[in-house]
Amino acid sequence: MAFDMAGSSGTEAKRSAMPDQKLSDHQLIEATKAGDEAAFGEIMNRYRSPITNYLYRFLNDYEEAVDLAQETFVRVYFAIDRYHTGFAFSTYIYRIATNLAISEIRRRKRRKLLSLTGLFQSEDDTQVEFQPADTRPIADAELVDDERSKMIGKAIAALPEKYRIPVVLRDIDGRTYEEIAEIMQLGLGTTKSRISRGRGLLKEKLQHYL
Amino acid sequence: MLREEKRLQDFADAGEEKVAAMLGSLKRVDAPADFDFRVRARIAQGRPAEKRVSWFPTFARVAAPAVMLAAVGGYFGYNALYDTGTVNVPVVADSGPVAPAPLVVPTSNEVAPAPVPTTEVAAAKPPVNTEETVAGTPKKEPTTVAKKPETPEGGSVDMALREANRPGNVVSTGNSSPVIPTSTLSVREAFSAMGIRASLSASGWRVSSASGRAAAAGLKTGDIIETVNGKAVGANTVFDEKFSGSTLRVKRDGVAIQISL
Repeated sequence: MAFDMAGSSGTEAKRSAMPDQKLSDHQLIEATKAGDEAAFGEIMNRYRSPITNYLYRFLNDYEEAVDLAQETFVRVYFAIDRYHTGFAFSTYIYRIATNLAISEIRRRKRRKLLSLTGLFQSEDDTQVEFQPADTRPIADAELVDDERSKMIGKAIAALPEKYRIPVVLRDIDGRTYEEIAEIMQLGLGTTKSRISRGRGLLKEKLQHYL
Repeated sequence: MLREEKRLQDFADAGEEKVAAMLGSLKRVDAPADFDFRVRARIAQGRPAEKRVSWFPTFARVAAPAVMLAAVGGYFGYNALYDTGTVNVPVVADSGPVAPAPLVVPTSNEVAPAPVPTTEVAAAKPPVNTEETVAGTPKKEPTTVAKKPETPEGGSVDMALREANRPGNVVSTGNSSPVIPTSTLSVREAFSAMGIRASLSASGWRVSSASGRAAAAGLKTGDIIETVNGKAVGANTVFDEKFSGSTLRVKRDGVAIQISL
């Protein structure tokens, strides 16, 4: 199932072969399995922004979020033969993205542990991940310039993983409780409890903005 | 009471709702325009190699070389400590009596064995457990030597001296006169061990006095000692350390007499 780079060239022939956007995720997956590269393009079209947004709110780092979002689709593509349509594709792809994000956070923690700069952090920064200065041009300058958004992003990033994932999925991405429970592989009650607890922690951190 | 709890619950719910609303009001971030192209490029490169996760924990990866360095450093440090000679005294002290001889040698200055220079003995055979040599040897050797007093009559010094004094193993210092190793006996020492005092004259070793078992066996002043245990006695004759004089042939008034001690 070699991927043809020409698939993104946007020729007329390819456009005519574009699948109907009304097709369900499962139909697109089946088409991709059958070798229809345009069907996979449609899957990316549907999920690239939600996944990028989810990872951005999770990691509070746009470049890293984009990189992991791309990695998510690469993994979906190579594992597509093993995908079973027994459950929602959205749950499947969010679970992959979540696992990648968790791995990234743990990798950062290890880096932080070994970094001497961690010794000189002030107490105020103890809950914030160590981030080297990013001098690259910012993709969404308007968003970053918003002080309130930055503070909220920091507060979310400072949440423990087990609260951060469900809060972001619920309040930012708009997933249902059932979907979140499935993505996190938790019971519905536990999921609701964690969302509530996560909101409570955020409320304490963001008192000034409420 | 129930009303109060409900009020607090409503307050909490209201706070959560505010947070949820605030999070929901955040602007959404979109994927960059070249997102699809980059994904396809990655796919075209082939299946991503799984990041190799080392089973070795990070802490251990740092600690293992540190421990090895400490071990190596400790080894050399320990050896350096021994090289300074701090352990010389106990090692030498453990090696037992220095040179016990089978014969009871009188402590008079005349017959006392001449002290042998340590360096000369060390040159004859290496494993001599003197202070100078121990200071230069690695830590292991003195320890081993100290633990092996193989002979009942003495320690390693005695063994080394015996080794140096094997027949034919005469140490030469470059002079024409041979150096008599400590464990051999000169004629005077041999005579002294038998209770005889004698001086070398033109006719041979003339007895000047006899005491102890020599006197008891009938040796008299003026006797000329010709042989001891069948061995002719000259000016430079030496006897083995295990010498025990038992038979003398002397000339008394021109007549040869056999005397058994």
